[in-house]
Amino acid sequence: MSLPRDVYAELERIIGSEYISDREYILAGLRHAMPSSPVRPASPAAVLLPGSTEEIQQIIKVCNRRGLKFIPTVSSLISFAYPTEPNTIILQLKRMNRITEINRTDRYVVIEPGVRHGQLRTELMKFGLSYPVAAVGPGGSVLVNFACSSGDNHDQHGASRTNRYIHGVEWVLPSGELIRLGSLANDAGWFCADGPGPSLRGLIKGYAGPFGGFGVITRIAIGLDEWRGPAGMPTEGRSPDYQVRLPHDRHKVFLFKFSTLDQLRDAMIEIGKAEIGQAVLKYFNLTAALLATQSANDFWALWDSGLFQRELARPLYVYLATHSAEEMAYEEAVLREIIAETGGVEVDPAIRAIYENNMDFFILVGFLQRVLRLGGAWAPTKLSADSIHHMFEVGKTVPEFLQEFIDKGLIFDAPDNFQIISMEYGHLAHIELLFLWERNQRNWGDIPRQVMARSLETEIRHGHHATMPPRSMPMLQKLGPLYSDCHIWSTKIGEAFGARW
Amino acid sequence: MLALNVRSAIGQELIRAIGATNVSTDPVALGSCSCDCSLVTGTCPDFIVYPHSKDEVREIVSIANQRQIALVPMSSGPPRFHGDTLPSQGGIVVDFGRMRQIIKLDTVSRCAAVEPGVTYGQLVPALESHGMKVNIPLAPRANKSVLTSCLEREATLIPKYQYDTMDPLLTLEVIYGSGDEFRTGSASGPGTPDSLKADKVNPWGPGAIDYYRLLSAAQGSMGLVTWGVIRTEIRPTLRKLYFIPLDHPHQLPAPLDALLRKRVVDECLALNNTNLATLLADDARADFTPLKASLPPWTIIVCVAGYQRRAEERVAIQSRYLIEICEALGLQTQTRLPGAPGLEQDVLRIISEPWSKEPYWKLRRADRCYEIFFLAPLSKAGHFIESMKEVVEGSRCPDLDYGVYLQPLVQGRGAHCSFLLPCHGSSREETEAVRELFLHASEILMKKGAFFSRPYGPWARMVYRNYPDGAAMLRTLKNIFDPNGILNPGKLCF
Repeated sequence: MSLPRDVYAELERIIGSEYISDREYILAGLRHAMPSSPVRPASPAAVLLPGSTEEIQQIIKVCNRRGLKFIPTVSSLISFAYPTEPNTIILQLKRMNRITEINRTDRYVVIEPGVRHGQLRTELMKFGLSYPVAAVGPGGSVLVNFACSSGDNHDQHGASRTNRYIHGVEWVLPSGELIRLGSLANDAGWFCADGPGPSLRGLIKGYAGPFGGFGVITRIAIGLDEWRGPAGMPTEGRSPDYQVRLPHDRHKVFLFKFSTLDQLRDAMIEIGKAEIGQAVLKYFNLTAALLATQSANDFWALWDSGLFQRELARPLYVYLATHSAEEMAYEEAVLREIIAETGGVEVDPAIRAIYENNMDFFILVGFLQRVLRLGGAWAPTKLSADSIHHMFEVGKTVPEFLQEFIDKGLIFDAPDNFQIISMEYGHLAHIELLFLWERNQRNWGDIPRQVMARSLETEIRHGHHATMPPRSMPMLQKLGPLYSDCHIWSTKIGEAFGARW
Repeated sequence: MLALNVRSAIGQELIRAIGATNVSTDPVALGSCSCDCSLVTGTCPDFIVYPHSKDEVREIVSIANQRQIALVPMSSGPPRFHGDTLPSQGGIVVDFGRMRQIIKLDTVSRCAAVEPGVTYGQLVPALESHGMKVNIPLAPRANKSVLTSCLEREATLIPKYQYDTMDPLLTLEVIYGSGDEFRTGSASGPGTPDSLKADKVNPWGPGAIDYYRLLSAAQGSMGLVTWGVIRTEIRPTLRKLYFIPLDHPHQLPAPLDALLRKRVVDECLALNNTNLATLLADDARADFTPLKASLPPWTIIVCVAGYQRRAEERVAIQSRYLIEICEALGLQTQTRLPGAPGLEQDVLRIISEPWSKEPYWKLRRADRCYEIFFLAPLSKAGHFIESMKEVVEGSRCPDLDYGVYLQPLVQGRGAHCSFLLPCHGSSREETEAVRELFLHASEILMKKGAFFSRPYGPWARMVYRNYPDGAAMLRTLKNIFDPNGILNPGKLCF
């Protein structure tokens, strides 16, 4: 349903005629169904491309006055980016793609929502700076990833989750008012996001973010780390036949396999205690096979060979990035000592070579879209964090609920397709289970719901924490009582500030 | 002031709830809760209560809500410096000093679960015996509550272990002012604390809100924390101290930044000679002056560490980096304390342990001190130190010998700056002059961009008058978590 003409005109006056549309052929592209979801989104009433914070404030005030809902989005790769009810407009923020400040001295960068990982990460490399790039591909919005959605990444062993790197926030509230958090509150710059007093930063993101349900964050500052590599990405060849190799004396990749999850866990814990390594993770084996191949035929040839199931059922990926060859020798010696003690052995050299030749896996994950190639549907479950020890306890229970779906042929036969990523030198770890299924089955839309429900039942039975209650209110109402009644507080806060959970 | 019969009735209710031995109306004890070393004017509480458990805390909160009486949480022993534990309108001081159980020390997942009354004096040796340590503030007093320190986002000595200003706090259990119990992060569930097997080290959430942040720097005005989990670190098997003497404060940021970018050092701080001499003097009053005179104006103190594997190799590599960085900046590194060789072990002890001598180090040179502290980008620290010097020189106490402490935070991407202003309570004129300086300097520094992220006492008014929207949001939250406003009224913007 289109907007009433007077509302359209009011919005047009704010944003300009070239940045608003309710034409059918434009809106059609904004209501397509997600491949992995049976839900057919409602059509937005219009799409707007604001260019500034001020425009967003004015648009939201019109929305509040005229009874419209709004969804801010950039990449639109998740279901929250699509309307669920009429009278909803889309705020497509891709025009706001300015890197407004790179502060090399104080190590932060100020960005707008439309800035992408591929844009920012490569720009910062020129200055010897870096940040943990969430494993969403180079097209993902940096701001969304840091402040609004999830934020786990391959490098978080030697760094952390992206939400830890927020240094300043400029936020248009659901009322349309602008608030600045942290040191910006006292015009002290972009270096600290907490305070004064109780940290309002707590409202913008917990483990995951509100996915656009709590106003619009229009600028953030993120903290930067030193980049230990060259000023440019050393790429050879052309996509998809390209390679990225970083200087071998200071950047090395290792892949080990273990007989048991306990051995793998112990190795990960010891590496953390030694404070070595940039990336330390048990990666998905099915996903790894998809990323390692360039076509569906290549994938099936690899998968049917059984190599990845055999070699990567319990793998440990380690990426060492050091400042000198001497430091590399030290870290490698410590690593090999730990692997020997814990019973790890190197995987087939051909597999290690994949990652040695594409070290971008640890930097930008440039070929992540290959996960989608099989053409069916996929979904993640678990998606939370606790200690390495606890995450492995969770991992051990995966077969308890997953095997029945595999046996019934409902999902892809890949019971080891879960990752556990160490973060902050092993102080925490993140877990994620990915499962794939065919969309040509009856009731295919129920499959992810059933898998997730059985996953959660298993956690509750074991007393495991591996899932965070999501932000959507129906799920929160259901799960909240299990999680310290968080739905009550979330509802109160949402109502007080006009959030749409 | 409560009517006598009301006071008596409340007293009876408290005694029924937690027992007569845990409720005090001793005038001396009550009087001691009405003042501290800050500029805040407190009032005398009506009761001090000493809960032993979460259930007792919940009972106390329930009584306070029914009776509309203020609760003021207090977890650390004296001396106190910020006015945050001073009742603004009488009420009940909740002293957590008897909730001092170390619930868990976990060497595998590197964390500790503690009750609010657990002090640094208690925890540091307990961790040491398990090969661990916690990232501590500079020489915290031994009776300082670990949880309070973390909740109040106090600056700690090892920036590389800080990923944001909330570290090392992970998760916690709280009784909100509403009387509801809540647990944060992965402590939230699923299920109860008894059935949950998680190590409770994931601080974020539950869901899309970081509840623990809303409790931070709140001076107990949002909820009463009954236990918390904090991260611990491997205790190094080998440590090597280095000192970098400097003449001017504007020289401080460059070496600190370079060392932290490369994560070369563990403990890392800078002190002026006044503060360093105060900390190191055998007898502060007798030895302070000659010791201060022998020290360089500024000293950066850094510690390079090796852990459980190949410690010597790690220390050698990091030491080489340190020396290279300093040489590139034209600075000298020394392993002996410049100006006072032989005191290196004392320095090591000061940056590793809580302060257990009397008086507390901040009161060694005078019986009173006022501390101005704020956050700033590390690169601007020298600018603020110079600004403070100008303000002092233009004040009624231009010769005041004040201490300066610069603590890089969060991987070196920010810094805590502290100015310690001593004064003698016996001299009314001096005390007034220093008070005046404290307030004036705070205003000037704030105008120049100093971020008073923990606005105690008079700073709250200065901070929130320029942040009305933020103050309004905080009041909305306060109304959710503490609808009757019983928790520490009169603090912050509440």
